[in-house]
Amino acid sequence: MKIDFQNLFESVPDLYLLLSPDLTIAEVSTAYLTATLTKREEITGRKLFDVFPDNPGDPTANGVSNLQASLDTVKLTRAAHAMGIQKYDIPRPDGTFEERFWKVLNSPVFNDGELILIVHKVEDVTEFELLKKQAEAQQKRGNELEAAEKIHLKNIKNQENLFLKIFDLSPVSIHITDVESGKLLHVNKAFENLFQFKSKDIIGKTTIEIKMTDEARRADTMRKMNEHGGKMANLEIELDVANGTRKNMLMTSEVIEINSRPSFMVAMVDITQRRIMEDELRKANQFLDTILENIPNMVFVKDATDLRFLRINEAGEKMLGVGRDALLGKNDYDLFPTDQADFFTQKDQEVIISKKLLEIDEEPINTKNGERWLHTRKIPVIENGKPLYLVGISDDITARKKQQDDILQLNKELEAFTYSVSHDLRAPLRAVSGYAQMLDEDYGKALDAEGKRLLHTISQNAERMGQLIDNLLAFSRIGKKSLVVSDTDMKLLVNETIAELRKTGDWRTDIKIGELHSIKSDHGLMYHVMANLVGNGIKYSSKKENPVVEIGSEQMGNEIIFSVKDNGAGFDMRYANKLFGVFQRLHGPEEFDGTGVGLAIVQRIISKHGGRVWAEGIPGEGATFYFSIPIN
Amino acid sequence: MENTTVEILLVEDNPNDAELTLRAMKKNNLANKVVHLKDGADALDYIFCTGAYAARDKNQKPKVILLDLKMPKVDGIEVLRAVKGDERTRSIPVVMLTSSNEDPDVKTCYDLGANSYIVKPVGFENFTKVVAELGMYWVLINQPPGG
Repeated sequence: MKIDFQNLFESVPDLYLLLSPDLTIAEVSTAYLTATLTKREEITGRKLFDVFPDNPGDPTANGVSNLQASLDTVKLTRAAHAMGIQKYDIPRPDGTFEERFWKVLNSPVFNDGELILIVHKVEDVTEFELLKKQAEAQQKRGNELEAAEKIHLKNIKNQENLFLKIFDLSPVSIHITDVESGKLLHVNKAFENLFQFKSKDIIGKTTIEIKMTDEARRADTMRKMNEHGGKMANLEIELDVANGTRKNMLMTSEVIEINSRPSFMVAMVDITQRRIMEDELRKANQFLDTILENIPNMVFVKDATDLRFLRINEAGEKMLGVGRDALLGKNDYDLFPTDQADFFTQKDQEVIISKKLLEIDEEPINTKNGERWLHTRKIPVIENGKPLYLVGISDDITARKKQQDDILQLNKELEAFTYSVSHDLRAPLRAVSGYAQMLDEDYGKALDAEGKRLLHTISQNAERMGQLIDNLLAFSRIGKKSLVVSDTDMKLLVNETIAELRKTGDWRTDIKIGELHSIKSDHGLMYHVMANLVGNGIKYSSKKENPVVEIGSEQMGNEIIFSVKDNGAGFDMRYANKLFGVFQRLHGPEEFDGTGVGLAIVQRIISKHGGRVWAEGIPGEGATFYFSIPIN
Repeated sequence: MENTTVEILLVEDNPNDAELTLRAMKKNNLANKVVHLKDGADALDYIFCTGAYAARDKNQKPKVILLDLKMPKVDGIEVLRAVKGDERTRSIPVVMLTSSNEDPDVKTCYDLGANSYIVKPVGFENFTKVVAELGMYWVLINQPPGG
């Protein structure tokens, strides 16, 4: 039998290509054609890479270059070359490519030592490769899942730790009990601290067993909880802790499932301290309220932003004749005439803007009880630099105000009276004096000595009464005069006084001037004081053989004390209190001339300066008059 | 008929004061030139030649008016205001007579243009002296313009 090698080659079940050295396809096995989806007549005689180009859809395709390299190796080494498993996609008849993996062996065929053919043997390992890839992918996914699971478990563990931490770190006491048995399942650190229990000692016991509560209170709590289906928020209860101390607790609870059993989760906050503070605050408020409601002054509080009344006390209600229900929430315009409300509001604004206390000495207010006058103090209540409230305290000065008005009226009447006295009393005096004079001039010759003496006494007394009126007027004028205070050099002033006294009288008194402090005073009035005291000293010592008047001053604390001392007639200290009264005299006019107004005027002037006047004397030996002037 | 050259017009309601004043003037030889009127209304009539004095010669102006401050009906201040408020009489010197220098009206008088004032003293001698001095001063020394 003759073997047809052509036929034999074409029919082998393996996949072969015979390539000429220039890589033209010479022969091909039928199995190859089947595997590469080609037809013999279409590929025979064509260049290998024209028939099998790289898959343009696969950017990583390296089939052409690797195969070319293998073939080049065969030509160069003249030995067979096996390629590893190579991805080499093949074109389908429709132009698309099919993914394929191949095992390739290229072997040279020589004739007389010359390369005439390369046998290109391939094995389609696509299915195997794909299976392998799938297996690898599965393996990878498995690893990933395992890792994810690990992370998940770790997270759960972390979360558990986290919640445990929170559970234990929470300042809120938390415990969980089994609903049915009442036994404790879990407690946190705050619970342990609050009740002074160790969790290992109490888990599994009921709250009654550990004396947290008793039957009655637990029943009460349970009843309240049941009313709300176990869900309670901020229920206030009382509990006993370790040493039997009863505590006020704020309880929040909910029913949860633990191991398929209903359980109470109970969170509690200790509000005992808060309760104590609230109680103290309440007591303090009660204390202040008692004061506020019982003081006789009106006290009100306004909101600093809208000036509406927030509070008023009983005295305020009475004074305004308005109950607090009708007043709170209102402003001044709701309650008072517009001009008054304007005034009150303007003062309120001043206080709020300046953030300072304001005194309003007098303000009229129309109340249900008629017009009243108030002395009001307005005080801002500041928090964090912002005025929150305005507090007002008002004293009802209506009665005092009326008294003042009455006094003013009285003063006016007195002034008018004084004025008329000065006019109307003087006219008849002038007539008495004048007609006595006329009588003397026209009929003096007809009168004997006694007649003339009587006439003279009439004139003298009329003139004396004129003096009295003048002094009385001077006294009342000083009462009305307001002080013009300036620095007063008392040395200068005393010297002026003495110079003036020398002009008006003939006297021989030895005047000794000691130290004299300067003061702040009304110069004119101080001159009057000195003229009067020194004049008195001269007058009352005039009958002595060696009359002496000493003038001096010294500082005593916050005052300068001035003294004017004479060695004259003196006085009995029993009558010292009469020295400074109006028309009070300790000597008769036949003894020493005078109207009894001078020292009264001195006292008035000194007391207007804020000082005091007093005197010391010994009958027949002399007198010392003192007055004090405050330094400031 | 009295002397038509009136030198001094005395307006004084108190007869005693008037008598004392006139006596003081007489002592100083001024009395025969004095006209004494007893109230402010009369004084206005006299000065402005109205009412009872409508027939008086308008050109006969007194050289000085001594005017008591306090008078019933029309008081010294009103008379003063009229005299000093009228162009024709403004130049006549007016001396106010008052009982006290405490009188708040004294300032008003100066504001209205009074030329001087006398506090009528209780002592007659003083009074005589003061009246004489002032009368002499205004009548003899201080001749009004155009007088």
